[in-house]
Order: sequence, then structure tokens, then C-alpha cells
Amino acid sequence: MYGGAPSGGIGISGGGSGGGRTWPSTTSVSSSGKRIQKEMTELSMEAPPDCAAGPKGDNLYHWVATLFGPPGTPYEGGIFFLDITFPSDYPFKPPKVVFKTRIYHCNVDPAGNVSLDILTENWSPALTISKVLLALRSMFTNPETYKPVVPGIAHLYLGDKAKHDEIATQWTLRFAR
Amino acid sequence: MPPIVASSAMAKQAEQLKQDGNNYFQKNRFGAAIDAYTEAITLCPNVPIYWTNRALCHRKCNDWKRVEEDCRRAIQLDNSSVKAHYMLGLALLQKEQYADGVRELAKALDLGRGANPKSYMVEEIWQELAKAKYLEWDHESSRRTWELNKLKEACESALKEKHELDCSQMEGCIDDRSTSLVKQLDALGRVFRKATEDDTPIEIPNYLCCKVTLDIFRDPVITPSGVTYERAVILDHLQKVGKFDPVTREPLRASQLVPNLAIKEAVHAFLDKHGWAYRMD
Repeated sequence: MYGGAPSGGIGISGGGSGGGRTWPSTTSVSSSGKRIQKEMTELSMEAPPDCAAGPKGDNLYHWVATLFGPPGTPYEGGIFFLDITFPSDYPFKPPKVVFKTRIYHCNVDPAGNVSLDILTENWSPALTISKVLLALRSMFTNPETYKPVVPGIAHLYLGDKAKHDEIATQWTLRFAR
Repeated sequence: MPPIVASSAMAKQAEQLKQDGNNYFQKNRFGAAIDAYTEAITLCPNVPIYWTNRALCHRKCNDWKRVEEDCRRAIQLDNSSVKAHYMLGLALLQKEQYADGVRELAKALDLGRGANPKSYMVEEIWQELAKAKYLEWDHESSRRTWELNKLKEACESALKEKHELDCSQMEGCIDDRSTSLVKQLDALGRVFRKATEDDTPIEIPNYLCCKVTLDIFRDPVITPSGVTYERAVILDHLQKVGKFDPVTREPLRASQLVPNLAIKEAVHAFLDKHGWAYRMD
């Protein structure tokens, strides 16, 4: 009967995307909300190493995450706070991730915005916050120097890594301890 | 041929009445909508949509008896009406005719998927079905748990009595006997824990969950890369995000999606055994 030409049973328009949706929806939580909840449960059971993340307050769409600077990097010993905001059509759009703690890194701009390809053009709905945190962690160890948001830091990293690491360590001590 | 002319005029009028009914419905004027559909039905009793539309109004008014009547008529006219099977299922659940209600919902789900897999109605039907199934499990499992607990208590006290009897009849070695009682009680506990395993909620295995929804599959489809997704969601992805497989990033078109019947059956088997997995949070 879906095919039935002008049929027009109430509410159900062939594509389902039409306006006047008259079938009462029994869903109390949207599909994005459900997915975020699932991620929350999974994270609470097994978070990636040296990471933590969860809702800031009552709002499921605003999270805060912490990352511990990995040993052997100039970020070692630092605790970095991040804000994560989920769009309402998550996971079809990527979450927005912002560093709240200042960090000297060529892929993080002064406002804390992260330039990570999986958070922009290479986003896939199969990615989760858990995987994003892992990617951020590996960004600590391997900066993406070919696509930096702060070219100066990338230049220094490539030209004088010792000097770069010294500054990054100082920043870690000053802002992330 | 006058009769045909007459009937086509009647059909036209009935369609107009249906439109009126739909307009009333949009304005939440269900009584007026019911009147309009009733007139349409009087003119053309063989159009199933008039019946299902009126049933929807009755549903809004919580008049489940009439919902059932109208849906049954609609099904007589068109056995493949998703809405008729769906609302009949809801009406039967209201009457606590549990098994029949679930059967109608399952039928609506199958029909809905075949006709329009992207329709939000499929998800809505699934949720109603899941709710009913979960309630059933909840009820049954409490009964099972209660029975098992009774049985366990009885077994424990029998073991203890036997232990006391043995001790009073024989001298010495009381310590050995006490250890063996502890061991027996332990083993008993293990046996009963095993017996309640199916009813104990755990994590749903990952291979039964979609990589995008992270939820148990309703309508799994497989891509040429071999990854399985929830049909409605992968279709959404292809439209909103891009024409690629979310996990492998291989190019992907909607026409390449194939139902994954094996996973569908595995999901069925899992849900049959673990009713708690119907729970939707």
C-alpha cells in the first residue's frame, strides 16, 4: 500500500521525510541521543588508556574529556582538558573537539581548535569518541606537520625538534599541571 | 453504462471526504475526521485506507475496540497493509492478547521493511514490538528467578540437614564433613548461577550490533567490504555523509547493499534467549 498511487494515508508520505508527520512518535530519545548514550556506557566500561570522557552535566550533547600527556613526549605529566560538543545529527556529523588547556602543538590553534582530518573531511559515522581520543593521543606523539594550523610550530618541529620539545615542555609545566 | 459512472462519481466524492478527514486529523479534530472517513466508507467500503485512517483516529481517542474492528476490515481488503497490522497489534496488546499482538506487529515490521525500509515507521513498529517483548521477558524472568530461588533454598536446607544428620550419627572427622558441606554449597551456588545466566543482562555481543548505531540489528545489510550495518542508518549515511563504507571507506552505493540473513537469524536467536536485550534506553 506504500506504492498505492495517490493513496495518501495520513501522515505517511512515501519518502518519510515529508513535513506533517502525524504518526505519534514513541521515541523519547532521538537516535543521536541513543548513540551518545551507548558510547557513554562503553566508555565507562573500558576507556582508552590515559583518557576519560563523559557528559559535563545533564546535557548529553556536551562532554568534557581529559587526556594525560603520554610518557616520552614533551606533554608527559600534563593533564589536558577538552570540550566535546555533539551535533544534533551525530554521528552523521563529527563532534566538535576543543582544547580547554593551552598546549603547544602544531595541530591545535590558539583558541584550542584541533585540526584533525577525522574530525572534518575524513569523518565517518563508524568513528566513536573512543577512537577520537585515541587519535588525539597519537597526535601527541606524532604531530601532523604537513597540515599544521600553527605553521610556526610545525617549522620548529621539523627544523629544531629539541627547541620545539623544550617549549612544549615549558607550556605543559605552565598550563597543564 | 450508468452504474460505472455513478461509482466513479462516488469514488471521487469519497476521496474528497478522505481529504476532509485528513485535514481534520491534522487539526486534531478526531471526531470530525471519524465522521468524514465514515462517510467515505459508506460510499466506498472497499478502500482499505479509509478504514486505517479511521482506525488511527480511534487510536488517538483510545478507542481500541474500534481500532481493532477497523483494522480487521482493512486487512480483509488488503492483507499487506502495514498500518492495519501495526494498529491491530497495538489494539491486541491493549487487550493483553499478548501473543497475537506481537504476531501482528512482527507482520507489520516485515511488510514495512519490504515496502519502505527507510520509513521511520519501521523503527516505530520495532520499538513497540521490543517494548512488548521486553515486558514479557520481565514478567517471565521474575517468575523463573523466583522459582529458582525457592528451589535453591530448598536444596541448601536439604544439604544442611543431611550434614547434621551425618554428624550426629558419626563420631569424629566433623571438620572434614564441614568442609565438604561448604564445597557442596559452593557447587550448588554455581549450578544455580549458571541456570540464571540467560536472564542476566550482559553486554550484547558486538557482532550483533551495528557499527554506527551501536545497537542490536533490526534489519542488517552487508556491504561489498563485508561490513554489516543497520539498513535505515547506512542509507542515511550514504545520503548525508558520502558514498563510502563507514568502516572501510571503500566506495559504496545503496544498490550494493544486500540483506544479511545470517546475522538477522543470529539476532533473532539471541533475542529469543535473552529477552532483556529488547530493552531500549
